[in-house]
Amino acid sequence: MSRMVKFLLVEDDDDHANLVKRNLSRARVANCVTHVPDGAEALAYLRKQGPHADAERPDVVLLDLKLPKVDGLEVLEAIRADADLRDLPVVVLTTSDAEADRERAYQHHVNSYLVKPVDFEKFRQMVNDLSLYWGVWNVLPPSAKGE
Amino acid sequence: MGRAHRHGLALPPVRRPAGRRLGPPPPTWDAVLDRLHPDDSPAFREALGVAADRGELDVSFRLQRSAGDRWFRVRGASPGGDGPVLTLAGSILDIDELRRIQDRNAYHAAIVESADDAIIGLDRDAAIVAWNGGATRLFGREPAEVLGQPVSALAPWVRLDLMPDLIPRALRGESVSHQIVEHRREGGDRQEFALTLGPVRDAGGELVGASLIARDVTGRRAMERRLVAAGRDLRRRSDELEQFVYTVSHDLKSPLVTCTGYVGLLEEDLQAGDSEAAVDSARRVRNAVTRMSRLIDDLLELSRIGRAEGPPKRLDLPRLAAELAEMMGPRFEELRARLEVAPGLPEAVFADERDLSRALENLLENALKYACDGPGSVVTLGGRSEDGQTLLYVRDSGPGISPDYHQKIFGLFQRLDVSKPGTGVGLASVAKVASVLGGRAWVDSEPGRGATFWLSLPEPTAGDRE
Repeated sequence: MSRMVKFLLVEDDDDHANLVKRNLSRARVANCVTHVPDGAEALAYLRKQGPHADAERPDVVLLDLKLPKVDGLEVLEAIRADADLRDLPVVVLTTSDAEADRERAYQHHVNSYLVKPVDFEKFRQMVNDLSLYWGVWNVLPPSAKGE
Repeated sequence: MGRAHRHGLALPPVRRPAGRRLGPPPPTWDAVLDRLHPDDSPAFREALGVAADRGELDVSFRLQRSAGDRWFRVRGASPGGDGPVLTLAGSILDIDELRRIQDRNAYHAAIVESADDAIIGLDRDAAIVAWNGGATRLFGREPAEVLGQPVSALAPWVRLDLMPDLIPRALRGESVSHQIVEHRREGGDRQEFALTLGPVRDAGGELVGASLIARDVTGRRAMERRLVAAGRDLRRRSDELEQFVYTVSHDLKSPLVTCTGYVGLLEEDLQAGDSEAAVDSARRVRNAVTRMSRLIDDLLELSRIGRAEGPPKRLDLPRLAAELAEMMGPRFEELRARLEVAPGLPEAVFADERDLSRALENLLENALKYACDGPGSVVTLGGRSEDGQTLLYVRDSGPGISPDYHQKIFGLFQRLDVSKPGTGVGLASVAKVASVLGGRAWVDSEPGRGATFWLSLPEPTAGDRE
């Protein structure tokens, strides 16, 4: 039923990245997480550029919005404008629930918009649900299977 | 002196202006005296006295009629003779229409004369042919000084050179309205006028000249400029507020997520007896709290910029630069880098000392943090005067910044290099210091070629210092 889900975590805050990874490692579904600290590197990874020539295409991108260099919304725009990446599921995972951010994210066809809870139990629950949803219930597009 | 006048003197027929339909029959002398308007009676009787003495009569008067009063003028001369009856040969003229026109003209002239605006008439050769009281008040010159003079006599008080085509256009029949021109009174005060020019035509539609109406808008324009500035200030503050709210929703919540997240993990680490993980979690919590406290301090600092009372003060720039170099120099030496103050700094700059020092300090801190990667690194603080503004710069020999980020880095909480400590408030506060003073902040840089951060500060005008 379940399968291994490959997450690309785009997060500039090292503490938050570690928090997501530690909670994912406790989740009931097996998954693997690649962490990149900014938007420019996220795009290089997805496009297999530079040091990321051997990068594996992730199943889902977990994207923070406030990032140095290229911010999260710009990463989302670039993904949606790229023929090879267009159908990649992107989940925004941010502390901001500013209306303008939410509106722009949905205008660029984000798959889901999650606000990081300031509560340990809720945070853990959210990460657990994420892996369950993407690992068990959601059926990915054919391109994700590397066909 | 004065003979008795007998009534019943023969009056000549009343002539009317050519082409007019004859109205009622001409009045008889008795009818004249019966219907003479009481206001005109004294003048009429006096004129008759003069006529008796000198044999000449010329008087205008109103006759009261049921259809309304009418003006007449009687002119005549006595052929002489010394009889008891004064005989005059002359005419009675119906001048009612003429008098009404004259009254209306006098009325209009009075309006023009008393208007606040300067109203100036020009003939076809652009010579001044009319000059009202408003023009005397506005330009401080009497009609006698300017009537008959070419319009160029208004220079240098009116900057005709700024509107070379306006008068010719009006004289060609065009209307030109609300051109703002400057004007300098002899005392040297600058004034601004809104000008309205238009062609003047006679009754037959023939172009006979131009009118020039000047309204003093100096006060209004100064008020408009103050309003625009206030609007800009308000917009800036509202943007700041919005940015601040965004910040609170994101950047201040971030360390809270870290705290609650790791306190939860800490409990689990302790229950599991994993002391290494517990120490790591505790350390992350402590750092998050420290970062939060710094964020709050920096935000408060940012909000204080531009709160100085009163206008910018004149600061001794070389002294300010020397003090900064003395304060920061040792920290550069620790990294075996060098901080220099370039010669030729402008003598003075107008700013709030605390704000400007803080902005320059921020730029030097950044140079220290991001551009001093070892011996041989040089950072220069310098400046110059240019086009009515002071340009200050901090130049480094560091790794440089890609043009992609030149604008972004001045935004609140925008950070390029998260490996170095910082809150992302420094350059935002530099930009705010510049904008509060009406200038701006920007960077010139290319990767691998160092960076120069600029701060432009306009030199205030006399009006701004009022």
